[in-house]
Order: sequence, then C-alpha cells, then structure tokens
Amino acid sequence: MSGEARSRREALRLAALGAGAIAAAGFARPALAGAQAAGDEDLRDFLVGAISLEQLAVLAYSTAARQGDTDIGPTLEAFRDQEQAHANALRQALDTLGFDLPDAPDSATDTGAFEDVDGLDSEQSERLLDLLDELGGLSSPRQYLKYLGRLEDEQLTYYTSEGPVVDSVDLTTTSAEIAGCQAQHSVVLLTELGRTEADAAAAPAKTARDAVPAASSGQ
Amino acid sequence: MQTVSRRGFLVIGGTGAAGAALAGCGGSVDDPRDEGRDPELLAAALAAETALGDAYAIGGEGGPAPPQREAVESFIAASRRRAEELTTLLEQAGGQPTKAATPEPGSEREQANATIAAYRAAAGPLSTEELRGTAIAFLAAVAAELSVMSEFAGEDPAPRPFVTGLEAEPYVAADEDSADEETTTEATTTAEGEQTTTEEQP
Repeated sequence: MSGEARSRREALRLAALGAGAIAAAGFARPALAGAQAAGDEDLRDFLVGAISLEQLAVLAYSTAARQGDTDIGPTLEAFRDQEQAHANALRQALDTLGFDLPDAPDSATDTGAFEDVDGLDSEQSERLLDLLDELGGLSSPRQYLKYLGRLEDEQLTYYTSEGPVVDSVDLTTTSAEIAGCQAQHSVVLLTELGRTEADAAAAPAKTARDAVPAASSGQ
Repeated sequence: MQTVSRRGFLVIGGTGAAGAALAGCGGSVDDPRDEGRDPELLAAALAAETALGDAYAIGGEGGPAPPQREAVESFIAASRRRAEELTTLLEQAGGQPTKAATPEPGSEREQANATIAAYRAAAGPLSTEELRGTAIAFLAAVAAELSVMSEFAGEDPAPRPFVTGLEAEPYVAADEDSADEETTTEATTTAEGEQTTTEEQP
C-alpha cells in the first residue's frame, strides 16, 4: 500500500471512529465509485428509513431529557448520543452512495423532515409524521418513557425485518449491532416503567422475533 | 492464515468476526451469502448459545440472589428455546452440532458477549432472509439479557451504540483506491473467547 493510500485509509478510519465507530467506505459496497445503480436505490431506501427513525429518536430523547424526570435525564442523554451515532454512521453510508441526506427534524412541528423525502414511501412518511405529532403532545415523564419505548420497538422491528433483506452483508451486520443496542435501551426504559427485569428482557426479544422475515421470503 | 483479495478484505474488515468466519469456512468472496457456510455459522451460534444457557444455569457462587432468580430462570428457559430452534435450523442446513464449551461459574456476561459475537458473525453471511433475521433477533434477545445482567452487576446496562460482543470497534474503514491489493488476515481468539481479525501487508 502506498503512503498516500495508507494515510487516506487511516484518515477514513479515524473519521469513522469519530462518527460512531463505523465506517461507510467499503461498507455498503466495497468498490463504490459514486455511480448510482438500480441496486443502490434499494440500499438508499433501507438507509433513509433507518436514518429517519434514528433522527426522530434523537429528537425524542433530547426532548425527554429536557422536559422529563431529572433522575433518568443523563441516561436519556446517553441514549440520544447512541442514536446519533447510529444516524451518523448510516448517513455516512448514504453519502458514500451519492444520495441526498435526509434532514433531521429540529422540533415536533418540523414536518418537512419527513415529507417528500427520496427513499421514504408514503406509508413510512405518514407513520413518521404521526410519531412526530405524538411527540409534541407529551407532557409527563411517564408518557415520554412509554413513547421512547415504542420508538425503540419501531426501530427494533425495522432492523430485524429490513436488515436481513438488504443486499449488503455489512449493512445486515450493522443492523444486528444496532438492534442489540435498541434492545438494551428497551430494557432500561421498561424497568424504569416498573416492569420486572425478566419481562423487560423478554419484551424486545419478542418484538424482534415477531419481525423476522418469513421462511418463504426471498434470499 | 488465509489470503484474500483486498476487495474481500473490505468485506471481512467490515464484518470483523463474520469475515473471519467467512474466511475460515473457505467461502467465496464473490458470494458472501453462499448457503454452504450455513452449517458452520449455525453450529457456532448453537455452541455459544448452549454454553450461555449452561452459564446462566451454573450462575455465580451460591447461584443468583433471590431478587435476580426470576430473571435468570427466565433467561435459562429463553436460551434453551433459542438453542432448540438453532438445532432445527442446523439440521435443516445439513449440519451437525459441535461440542459446547463448559462455562466457568460466574461467566454469564462473558458468555453472553461470546454468543452475541457468534450471532453477529452469522447475521450478514447466512444464506436466507429468515436465517439472517433469526440471527439478528437472537442477538437482540441476548443483548437484552446482558443488559439486565450488567445492571445486576452494577455496570452500565447499555454502554455502546453498536453491540458486537467484542471489545474491538466494529468497523475499520477502507477505501476503494486499494481494492485490488492483496492482504492477509488472521483470525485469533482471545483468552476471553473474543475473535479478532488482524491484517498484515504482503
């Protein structure tokens, strides 16, 4: 490897670690040259759906940390940062593919973030807008925790159902890594809501199990 | 030690243990989801899951404290159910179970991480959507159990954004400029049972 190539590779590695311990270059497609092919749109659709959920989760955790129970505030801020790390990594992959990056919502009234976005179909867009609207109506700490728990379920379902379908070994692996994190968030939120540890661990396990693609689906 | 093309390393470097498993199975980098690797990946996951169930059952000295017993007993049952399902999937794939290691007392969290690493290694390269989805779902289930066990131990229940079961960061960046270069990789297993992949330049 030439010195130039090595330094560029090192720069990418360091940039990736800073973005969330993941690098997109060589991750979605090893020899990606920037040209967009038909298969790239499938990767884009997967990534935009995931990024949209992650960015909504960042907003929701930020809002809950500011307005909710101060005891769990630092935990919510830590989870917000982890959701942001997921979003950063996935955005880097989308950028590498050469597609436009979706905007992050900056408030519960910022509906433009989920309207007319390339890669989001109308059903996804409506679902995200409903969730965003619901966020604006929350007030008590318990309402926030329940809402965050449902967001984690949405994400866990997404990564378990769509991650296996995407035509990239690395993106599927990343889906597994993120799904593990979302399951851990769920455990913490559910125990905070008063569920036993056994129930709190069983709930995300069931959510993920129920989302597995059926045997008759494609390869 | 296996030699793979730089293009292959990008996949292997990206998937860590998955890549090591791929290389170890002699899989073609042209088809990283060839079904010929399913038996080995499933057998590795089953061995790890079996050892995890045993680790839960053995527990620490004196077994779990009463407040933790309900959770641990539910984890034993869940782990055994996952192992049963993996056994069926392994048989369908034409594979045979391999002997699971006997865990040390008090090694539940260590074994949970090893099991997560096995599912992570399988999630990308398994040949069907159902198998890959099952690996992701089982990784999430074990991650949830690990979160509870960590809380019991007084540690952070959700310390990292990417749950890999490994200490190493999950991805190493690489760029397309070096796509045709040759490199070598060597999979190693640490004393904690963690698999790592190291790179050497020719």
